[in-house]
Amino acid sequence: MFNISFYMRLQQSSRFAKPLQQFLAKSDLRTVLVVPFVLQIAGTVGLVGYLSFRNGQQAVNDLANQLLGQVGNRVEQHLDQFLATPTEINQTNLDAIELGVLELDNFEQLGQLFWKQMQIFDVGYINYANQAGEFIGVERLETDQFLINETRKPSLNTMTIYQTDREGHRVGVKVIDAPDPVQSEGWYAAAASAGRPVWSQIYQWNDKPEVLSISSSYPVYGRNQVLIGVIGVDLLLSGISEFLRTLRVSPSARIFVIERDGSLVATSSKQPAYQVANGEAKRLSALDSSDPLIQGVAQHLHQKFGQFAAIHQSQQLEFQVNQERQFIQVTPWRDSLGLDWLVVIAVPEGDFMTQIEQNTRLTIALWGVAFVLSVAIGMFTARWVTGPILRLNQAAKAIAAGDLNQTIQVRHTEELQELSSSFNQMAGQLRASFAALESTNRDLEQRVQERTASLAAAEAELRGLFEAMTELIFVLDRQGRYLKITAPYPELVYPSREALLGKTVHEVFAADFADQVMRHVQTVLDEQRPQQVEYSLPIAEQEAWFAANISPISSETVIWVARDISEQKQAEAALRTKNEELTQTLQQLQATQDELVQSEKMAALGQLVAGIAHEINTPLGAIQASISNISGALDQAMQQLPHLFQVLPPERLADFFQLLQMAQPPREPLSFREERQLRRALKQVLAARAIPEADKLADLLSKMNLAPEALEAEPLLPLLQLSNHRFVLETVYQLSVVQNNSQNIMLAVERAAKIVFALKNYARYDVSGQMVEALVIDGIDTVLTLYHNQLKRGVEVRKHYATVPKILCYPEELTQVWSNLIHNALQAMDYQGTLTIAVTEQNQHVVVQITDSGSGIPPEIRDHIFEPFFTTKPVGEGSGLGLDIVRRIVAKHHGNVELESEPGHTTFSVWLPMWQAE
Amino acid sequence: MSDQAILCVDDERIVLLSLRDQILKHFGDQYRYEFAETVDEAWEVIEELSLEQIRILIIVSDWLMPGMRGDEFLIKVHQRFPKIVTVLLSGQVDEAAIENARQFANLHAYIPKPWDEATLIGVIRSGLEQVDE
Repeated sequence: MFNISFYMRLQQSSRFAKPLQQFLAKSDLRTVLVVPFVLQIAGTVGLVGYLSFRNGQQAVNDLANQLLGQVGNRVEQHLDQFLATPTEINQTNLDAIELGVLELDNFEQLGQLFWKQMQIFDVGYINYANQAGEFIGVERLETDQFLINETRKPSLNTMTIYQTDREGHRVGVKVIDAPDPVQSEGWYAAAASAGRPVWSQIYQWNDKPEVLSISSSYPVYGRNQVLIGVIGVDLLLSGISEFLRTLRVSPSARIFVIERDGSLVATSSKQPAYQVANGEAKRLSALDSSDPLIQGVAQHLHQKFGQFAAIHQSQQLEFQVNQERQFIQVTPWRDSLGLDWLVVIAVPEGDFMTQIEQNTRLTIALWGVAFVLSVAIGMFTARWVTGPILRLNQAAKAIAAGDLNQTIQVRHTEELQELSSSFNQMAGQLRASFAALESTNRDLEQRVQERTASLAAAEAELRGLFEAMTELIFVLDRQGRYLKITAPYPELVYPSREALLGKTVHEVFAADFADQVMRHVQTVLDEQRPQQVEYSLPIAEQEAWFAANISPISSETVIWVARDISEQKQAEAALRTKNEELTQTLQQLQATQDELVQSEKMAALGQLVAGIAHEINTPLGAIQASISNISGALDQAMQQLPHLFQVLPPERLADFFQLLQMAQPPREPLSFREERQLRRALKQVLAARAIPEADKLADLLSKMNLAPEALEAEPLLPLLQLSNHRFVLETVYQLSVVQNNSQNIMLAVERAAKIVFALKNYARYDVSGQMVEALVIDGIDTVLTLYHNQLKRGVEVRKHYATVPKILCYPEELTQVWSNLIHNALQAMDYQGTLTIAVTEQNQHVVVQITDSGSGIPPEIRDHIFEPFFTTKPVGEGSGLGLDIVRRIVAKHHGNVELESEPGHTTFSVWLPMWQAE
Repeated sequence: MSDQAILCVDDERIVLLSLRDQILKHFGDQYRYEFAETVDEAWEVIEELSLEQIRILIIVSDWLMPGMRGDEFLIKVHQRFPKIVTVLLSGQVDEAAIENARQFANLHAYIPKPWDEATLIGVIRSGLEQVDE
């Protein structure tokens, strides 16, 4: 039974413990150890703190209530005592009057008595007035001096004020107008009309509003109950406030006394209990107090009880004022003479709670420290305890992960040490087992790897073989049925693998192709040996070509290995076409090349033509002029001849013809400079002979190229002696002009002919293609002739021609070589400088060297100048073909061109082998 | 003999010979006629004539000559003898050279080769008139 109930309890408890168990199961060891520890400490400290706080609060409440009661009692006592004073004085004085000790007419005595009483009691005024309107009173000044004020008959409308010395004797005197008739003053009238002792209303002094006073008045009756006068004592209620202020209840506690209508009587606050309105001081109600606490408490009480008058018993209250809890005590206070006041004490809870709150804060701080400490200690302990366990755990995990090299050192507790040593032992055993296992494993792995490698190699080889095969493989039987098809890419099989397998050739392909296939299959099967064939198959409107190797597999089947050779076939066809095109192009190029050479030559000629025009025009001009000169001279001579024959003595006729003969121009005529010199010499001789018109004669004779020596001999000497010798000589001259101009025409024609010849040589295009024997120099001179006018501007031509034999050559083409080289040379030196042309014979070659004095060819372009279309000239000026043509033509002569260049000296050397006609 | 001269400069002897006979035919012995085959020779003649106090009226010069071109020669002449009338005679000349001579040698006329006798004589005649003025 017990067991069962225990079991059931266990079950029940386990129901609640389930979430906890789950939490614990999920948490790590450290948390499990630390959390309960921390919870315990925190719970304990928290609970203790809370209880102490509650106790504190309770104590405060009790304390506050006690305090309120005590203070209330003290205030009551004080009020009793304080307000009893005037009553006592009045009673004493009344007793004295009734006993006859005090004479009411003896104002001197009254003054003395009152003065003495003022010394004893702390009251503001003691006075007496009678029905006649006489008055005596002793007044306390703020300086604690005393004045005796008197109004006596007959001068009832004046008041005499005496100052007093220490003994109470009257010393100084001052007379003022008396205030209103004394019978009308409140203190007198109230008592007189009541016929018994009364308290006056509380009133303020007009000159000192802060001073609240109350008067206790006693009526004095004579015999027959006739009113004689009234004695009174003024009490300064400010004394109550001062007393209240001396009560140290708590720092911000307030005590105040109010009348039942709420008007303040006294207050412990320093705030005034009155307000000044329209220059008149007016008492304040506690409801309007400027002290917020007093006002708040008063309002609360007023609200709670409806009116102050409703409070009949002493009560202790607690409520919120100004957001703070207040302990309040309100106590009614009455006296026998009709004063009915309320004494209110308000103590804010905060004044007591300050210390309590400090304690609470201290408690919280302690709680915090305890919490932190407990957590720290808990964690440390947990770490200390769990550290080895965790390490064991990590080591175990490491072992599980395969790292067997684990040893644990634990120096904590005996149990853990045992655990760790068992663990280490277990780890050691595991290591040993694993090492053995591993070595076995390695063995196995190695064997597997070796096997795998050899397998992979074999497979790679096979795959390589297969991939390298781009052929289609068919297996066909004797009927042409496709039994097997293998292809590296299925798309190679036409029309498709599926369309062929199981079908015969005739079922798939056109009859002629199928027949062809069948023929091959039959042959191979019959002969039982392989056969190679090429065949075409129209696929997608294109002729696909295949090369096939057909081998017998059995007596009924063949293997047909086919390779697509369409591209190869196409390439062959394309190659053939290209070859044909190339051959054609080559032929065209050769033709073009010849044309190019010729057109370059013509282009160069075109450039020359402008200059050549001048060369032609010059002789033409001379010829034109000479012809007109001849005809002019002939005309003149014809006119002169008849006259000459008349004047010329017959014996001089022979001299005349002889002179005419001499005047014939020589083959090498004089230059104009020589002619001038001749003229000068002739003139001197003629002048010496005193022959008239010597200069004109000298001119005439020099033009006929007659030397001074001729003057001394026949035929001229006798002719000069004739009187009309000048006429004779002029006629000779006219006839010589004909000769001269004829010769001039001849020279001009030679010049023109030479140019025309050069042009003809240059422009000639020999189509025979035969080498002929020619002088290299002729070609060079032809070119120089054509370039004459470009040369003569500023180029000095130096020719160094050695005697070289004629060689076999293509003269017109060589002319083009010289023309290109000379043209380049002229351009290189900008038509200013020296052009040197040397022709020599060296090593069985004729070497022509053309040198210019130009700035030279920069090294970086030397390798390019022989390339076609390379030019340094502006676009349109040079074809860029010149030196390429030079190279070609020289190569055609089996010669070569060399270049040497430095600034001021650039030489192209053309080497031509000396072949001569046999 | 005349103290006024006409000078012809041309590197072609055949041209000078033709000129001589044409000018002589028309102007006879009114003037002295001098001929030079190069610019250097022309300067020699100019020096000689000035020594003999013979005034050169007109110079007819070829343009394309070795050493110096006709326009340059005439410009130099004009700088030294501003009164000499200048004439260019050439079978090949560029416009720039003629303009050059007009601007800096006060060129009187340019006669292209082959020249017409009447043209030549006309140019010389008008040049001489210019001198007379």
